Amino acid sequence: MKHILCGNPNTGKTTFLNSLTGSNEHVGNWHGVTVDSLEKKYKLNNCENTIVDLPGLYSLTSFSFEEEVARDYIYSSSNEIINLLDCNNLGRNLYLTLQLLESGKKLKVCLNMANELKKTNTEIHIKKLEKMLGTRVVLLNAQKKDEVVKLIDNDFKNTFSINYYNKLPLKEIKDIIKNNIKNLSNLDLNIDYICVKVLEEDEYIINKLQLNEYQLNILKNYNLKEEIISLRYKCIDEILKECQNKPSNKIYGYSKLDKIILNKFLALPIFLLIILSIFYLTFSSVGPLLSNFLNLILDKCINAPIINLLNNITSSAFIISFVEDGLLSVLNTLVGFLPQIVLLFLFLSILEDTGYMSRLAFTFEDIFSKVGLNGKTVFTLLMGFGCSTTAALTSRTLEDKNSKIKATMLSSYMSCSAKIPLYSVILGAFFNNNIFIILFLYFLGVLIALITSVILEKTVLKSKNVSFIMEMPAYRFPSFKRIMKIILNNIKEFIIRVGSVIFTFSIIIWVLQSFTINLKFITDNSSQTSILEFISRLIAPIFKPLGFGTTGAVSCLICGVVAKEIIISTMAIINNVSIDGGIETLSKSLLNINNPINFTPISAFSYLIFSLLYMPCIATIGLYFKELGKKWAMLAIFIQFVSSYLVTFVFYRLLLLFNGLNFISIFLSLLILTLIVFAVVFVIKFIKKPKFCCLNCKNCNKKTCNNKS
Amino acid sequence: MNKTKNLTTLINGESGYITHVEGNSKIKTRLLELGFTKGTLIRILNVSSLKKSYLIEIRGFILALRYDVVKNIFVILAKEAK
Repeated sequence: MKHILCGNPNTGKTTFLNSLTGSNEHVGNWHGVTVDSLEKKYKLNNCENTIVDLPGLYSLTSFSFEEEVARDYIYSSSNEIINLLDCNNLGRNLYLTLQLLESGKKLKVCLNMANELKKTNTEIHIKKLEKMLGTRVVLLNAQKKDEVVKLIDNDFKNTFSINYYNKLPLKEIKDIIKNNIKNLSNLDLNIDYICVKVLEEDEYIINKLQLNEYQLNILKNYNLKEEIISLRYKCIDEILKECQNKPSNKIYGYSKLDKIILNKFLALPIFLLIILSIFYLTFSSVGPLLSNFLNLILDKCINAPIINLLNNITSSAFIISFVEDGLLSVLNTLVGFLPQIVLLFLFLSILEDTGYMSRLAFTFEDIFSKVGLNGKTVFTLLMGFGCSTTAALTSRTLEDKNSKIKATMLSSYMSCSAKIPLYSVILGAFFNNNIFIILFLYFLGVLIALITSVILEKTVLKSKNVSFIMEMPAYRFPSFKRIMKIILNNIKEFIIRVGSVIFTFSIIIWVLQSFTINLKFITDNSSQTSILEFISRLIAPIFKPLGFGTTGAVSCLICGVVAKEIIISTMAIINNVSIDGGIETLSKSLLNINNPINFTPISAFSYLIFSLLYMPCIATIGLYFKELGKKWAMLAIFIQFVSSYLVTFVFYRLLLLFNGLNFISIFLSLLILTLIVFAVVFVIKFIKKPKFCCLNCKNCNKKTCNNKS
Repeated sequence: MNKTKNLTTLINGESGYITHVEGNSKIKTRLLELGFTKGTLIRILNVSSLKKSYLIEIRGFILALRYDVVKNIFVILAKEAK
């Protein structure tokens, strides 16, 4: 037996599939989670069955690519259909059901989310509804396996009497198109339905019929599209009048809470409050506490015994270093991330499932649509101030691939908390701990992110207007079981997929640090040059134009790719001071004339800018590869590197020109940088003349598309 | 006198009866199919601060639509229709 699941977006089709087959497809409290048809096999009463999950659609006259996928599947298959409806939204959902019934498909109508009917005090008379629709109607909660399994039987029918068809000139249409019907023989549709679709000016059906010019001209005179849609809605109104008892004062999905959360003045403060508390819990109180605790346990129970054991067995410094600095340090990094990930996904799934994220999209659509970002990206970007890795994880909630790539890439421009030690070292050495420089760096990160977003939007990553409707799901309590599932899945994925990338990169960096160019292992207290130093010396001239072309400064940056915290510990090693002496000792050593890093105040400033913007740490890079795919991950890193190089170059040169570091020169440099960028954007715009672009139809030749918007 | 107004000019809480829907064939069809047929009563529940997104009550449920879509809908204010 094979069944097709279809229904409006966000009616719980994937939840239904998961309950039925016990699989683990991603579901969410917003529309568009499923974008392609998905077939699953499962066993029931010792029979092999198949179920197909289709993307949500509002109507069989398709509007977007996902809807086309679903429509094509429905039209061409003769399988029975399980039509899922959100029983709190019957008015809109029944429109699709009517079309399915008209087309002659056999189906069963399932009113999902029956458990939420009480909230709005709504009653639905199932028996009456069955009679009026001519099908079986079932109330259910798709999360319950036993309710879902009961549905799979042979009781699918369609005896719907379409009372509004007699108001339409179907016979005339049938005469006009009767010779073309054979073109649709591969579709399983009623002839009456085809005629109605022709009257509705449905492009897909008309194209398939291959009507000639003469026929099309006759059809143009009918102009009954609005009439047909109104007739269907009249029919729905009658059905609802008979079968649904709903108090009129309550609107599903909009409560008193929304009046506060979506309020013009309160929306922003409430959002800030929420994000600050998540920030506080994840990055500065509970998160680090748990991280330290786990690392302590790891240190005592695993690291120390292993190293002791190794010391007893072998005296080879090579093996000990490989295990200690290579393997165990990776393990420590991974474990250190775990509490953050658990906390983050806990909050994220709560925010998502309650429906707050959708409201966030509603609120921030204003500001972000101007730079080509989706309202939800605000969350990802702000998490970037805590940790780029966790921020990149949150981009998973974005449905559109292009905004996902953008949000992930841009969140790395936000100054993450791991860079703060570097700031304080350099600020202490050259700028008298001037707090404004830090503020400036934060501001610059945001600015560059926005500018990059605009440029990407104008060139390669044009964000699609994903959906016509922004879904506003009702507030729901997230279930504990579901949150646990999400957290466990994400931890598993993080350790396996991201862990492997982190592991590889860490080993590479370890090899670079501990071997000479002749592949000899470097033992302590020797003055051999490592591969890292060699490479640094080789590429140092590239950074000459930025003011910090010394081997020391560059090797710090390379090590910074492992984790940003490592920049200062490498600096300490290069300057021959102990990091335990605190930040001040390191700052003082930077002022020492003979130190190998050799900064001037201006070059130190450009070093700060560069380390703010250049590529993120390997944990984040690992996530890039996992979330964005190879091509985009490499491109993202490349874009970040180039943009940081250019920005730093402009700043360094301008500051040299102004011959000093003060408010005015920094401000002027910023201004000139912005001007340059706008000039570039303007040129790009000028070269790429605005084309007419059609809304959401992918398959057409854009020049001849009729749906220009 | 009945005056047709663009839906975007309505403020929070105001309601109106739909007179007609404009826009290219695709947008128009979709709006009609979502229930924005002539004579339907709709109400603006919320407008975001920069007037980019609108929360609209129609046929007993809510829809959030973008400005570019909402500008195609025309109504007569409910209080003037009476």
